[in-house]
Amino acid sequence: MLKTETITINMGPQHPSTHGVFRMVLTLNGETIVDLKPMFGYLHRGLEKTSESRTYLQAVPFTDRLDYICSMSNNFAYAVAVEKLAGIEVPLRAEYIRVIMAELTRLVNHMLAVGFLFNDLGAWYTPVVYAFRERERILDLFEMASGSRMMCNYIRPGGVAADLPAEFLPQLRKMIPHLENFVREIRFYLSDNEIFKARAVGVGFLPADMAVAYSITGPVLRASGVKYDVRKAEPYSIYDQFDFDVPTQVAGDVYARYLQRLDEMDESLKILRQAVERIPEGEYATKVPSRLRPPKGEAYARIEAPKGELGFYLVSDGSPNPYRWRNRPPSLINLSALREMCLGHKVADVVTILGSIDITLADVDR
Amino acid sequence: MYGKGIVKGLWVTLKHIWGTYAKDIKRFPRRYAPGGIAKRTDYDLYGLFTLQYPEERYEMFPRFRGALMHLRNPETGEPNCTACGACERACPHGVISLEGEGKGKDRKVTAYRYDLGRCIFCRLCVESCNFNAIELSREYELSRYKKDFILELDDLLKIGDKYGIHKTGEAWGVTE
Ligand code: SF4
Repeated sequence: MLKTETITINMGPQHPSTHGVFRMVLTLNGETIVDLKPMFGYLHRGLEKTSESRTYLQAVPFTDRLDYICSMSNNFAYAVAVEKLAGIEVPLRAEYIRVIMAELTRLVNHMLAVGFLFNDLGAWYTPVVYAFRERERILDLFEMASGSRMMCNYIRPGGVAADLPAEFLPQLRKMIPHLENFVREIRFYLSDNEIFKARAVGVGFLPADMAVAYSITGPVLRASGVKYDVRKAEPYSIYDQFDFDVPTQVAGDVYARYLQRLDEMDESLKILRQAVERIPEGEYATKVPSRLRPPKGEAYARIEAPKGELGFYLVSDGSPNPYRWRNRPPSLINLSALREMCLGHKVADVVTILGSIDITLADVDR
Repeated sequence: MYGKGIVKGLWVTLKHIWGTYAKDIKRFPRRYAPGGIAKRTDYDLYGLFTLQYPEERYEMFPRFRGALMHLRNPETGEPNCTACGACERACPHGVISLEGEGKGKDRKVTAYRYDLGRCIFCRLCVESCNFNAIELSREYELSRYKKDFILELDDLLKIGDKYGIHKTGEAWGVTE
């Protein structure tokens, strides 16, 4: 038997396919991975501690910067947590606006996840550009409503920052069939591409019991066959009034995660269709004082963000500043299973697996 | 069958090329939008999508959040600001610092310092303002050659004059 020596190399922190500043210490036997250590924290900004010295309202723009791709979902989760803590009622129209924004964010995120997965595989930029184009149209809607493409700061405790502009809903109605077409097109030209299948099927397998043990959530969990979605398991906002399914896959590999994201986009569009039809007139927010003083106590609220379960844990001591401001980021916890998924694969597969988990480093490091 | 993926991919690409150029062939050979301003209010979902930036640019939505500006009272031409300091307290980043003089109704702003380099354009300062004094402009080309990111009251009033707005929050449907 030939004896080989293992070699340790660093992948990142400056690497085009790590989606940010993220370092992996790989121990290789030839090209096969025998050990992987994720190293992160390069983008740590201390958002939790910073937010503890701000008021509840002032922390909303900071939540935009957790996962900058889905800022609306982050606002949403934080708003739900503050409302739970202070016992604030939200008007129905505001709930509908929130659901519309959250589902649009899910579309944006999954478009990028699918696009960049192909980018990592070497389909250099064509799928991403198609995804970016549709994403840009959704971001236009965000800009129309909130004034900013990505740092929306739109969903606030008590409702939303302002009512939807008059052009928003007609534009969205026009766009929904277009987006459905987009998903169909991706399925048509990417789903049974042989090169993609050769790289994705059977790679990065994550069994269901291990996914549960690592508290993986979101599309990665559902691609392993666990039917768990916070929108169904613990309905928040008005998600119990919508008719949608929670799609699952069985395979639990990169290919299943890709299919899972496409299925979820279809479900999101289903929710959007219903929401656009049923959105009522009315108030867009309840008045919340800008220096909100919630009663003493604590609250944990979680929502199904595009990447997984996003939770906020807030402790109030009765003062205008939160005593503890804790965030449960989906990216960080999904990343924890990276080693188990990568062992035994080749170096090139690490990139694919990382792309299929779909992390944002700003969310991992906070 | 091998090669099917390539054929499908090329077919989709061709369809996109066709959808883009067949629709907007009228704009050949100069493809710029009329007047160099591309409107986004009623854009179609097919056709040319990209933009040749310095030659043509988007018209910003009325709600766009750009650099801060100060508004004037249309009658007297004086700044509306009363130096109450609400924006200073509302800002999560300590971007604004101001000074004022006078008491009660006569209170006026004497100095207003706004650090463009630290502003995150969250609009919390504007939301806290009760005097129609400040608003976020649609100014977005904010890079500088030098480190002069600190804008004083006069600079902010100059931006405000450019937009000719006298009320806060018109585009947002909230005027008080
Ligand atoms: S927009 Fe936000 S960061 Fe900028 S000055 Fe106003 S409150 Fe401060």
